[in-house]
Amino acid sequence: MDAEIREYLPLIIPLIIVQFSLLGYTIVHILRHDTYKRGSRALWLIITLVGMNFWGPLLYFILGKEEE
Amino acid sequence: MKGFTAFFSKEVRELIRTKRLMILAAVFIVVGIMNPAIAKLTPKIIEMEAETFDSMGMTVGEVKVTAMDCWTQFIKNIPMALIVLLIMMSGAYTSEYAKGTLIPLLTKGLSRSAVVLSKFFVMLTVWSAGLWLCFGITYFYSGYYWDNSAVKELPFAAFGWWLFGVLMISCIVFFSSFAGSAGQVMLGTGAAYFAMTMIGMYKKAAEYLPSRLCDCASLYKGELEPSDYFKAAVITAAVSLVLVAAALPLTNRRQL
Repeated sequence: MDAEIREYLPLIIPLIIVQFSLLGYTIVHILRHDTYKRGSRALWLIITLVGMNFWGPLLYFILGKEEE
Repeated sequence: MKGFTAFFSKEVRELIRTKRLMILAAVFIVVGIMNPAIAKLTPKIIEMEAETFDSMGMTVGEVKVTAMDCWTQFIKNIPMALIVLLIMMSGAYTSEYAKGTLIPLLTKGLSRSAVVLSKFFVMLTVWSAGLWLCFGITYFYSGYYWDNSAVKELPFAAFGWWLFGVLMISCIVFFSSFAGSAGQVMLGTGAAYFAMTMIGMYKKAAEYLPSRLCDCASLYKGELEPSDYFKAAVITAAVSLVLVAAALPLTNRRQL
């Protein structure tokens, strides 16, 4: 099992880094803004967390982020 | 030319500050890693589902994953990245027209062609960089786990997809020259794709259509040679050029 997991590590580590940094950045962005193009803070937090394998953050930045 | 470079750098800065560049980079990187990851996990998934298959009366033997599976994932997933890029960029022109942010620049002497072309080149740069980044990541992993030489014509297949993306970006440029909103631009681009698929049902025409460039699977297996794509590639490049060229006079006549 150990060797098997090690075989997947080169794939999993970068994937985790990219996805979690995107997730973290998105959550910070949502919390720092009070108004959105559509929806509310709670809605976007739920969407971001449910779709945390990058669909959630993506949807937020396309549909929810307000143009400044 | 001065207007072009100035507006080009303004566009790049806008991409960075609206975080669009970051998101797109993340998408291309994630897709690049996902391709080998899904291929690598396929036997595991089938193993887990083996019991279900057994109860259905199917016996699943050993599944062997090769570089081919990884590159099949590549051509399955790259359209997703292209669609994200197109959706993000669909409002590039129309939002500026709607908000009137271009008017001060245009009255100061910036030509409209410079605006159209610099936005087009920004999209082109992002798409090229993104596609080849994604290709590079998949190539690296695929070479690490399997053998890339088992799959034929890898760079050419990616080039085909690149050219197809250029056509879609040209569609955005063209429809933006008269459409009123990002939604209309997306609708037009979608309709162009739909029309292409419809004509593609007519077998004789398929050879000449840009959608031929997306048929990488036959290229990988060696059923088709790059020379078989020549006609489609020339037509795609020509249509893209015509679309962008047509957008210039249309934008010049546009009421802002």
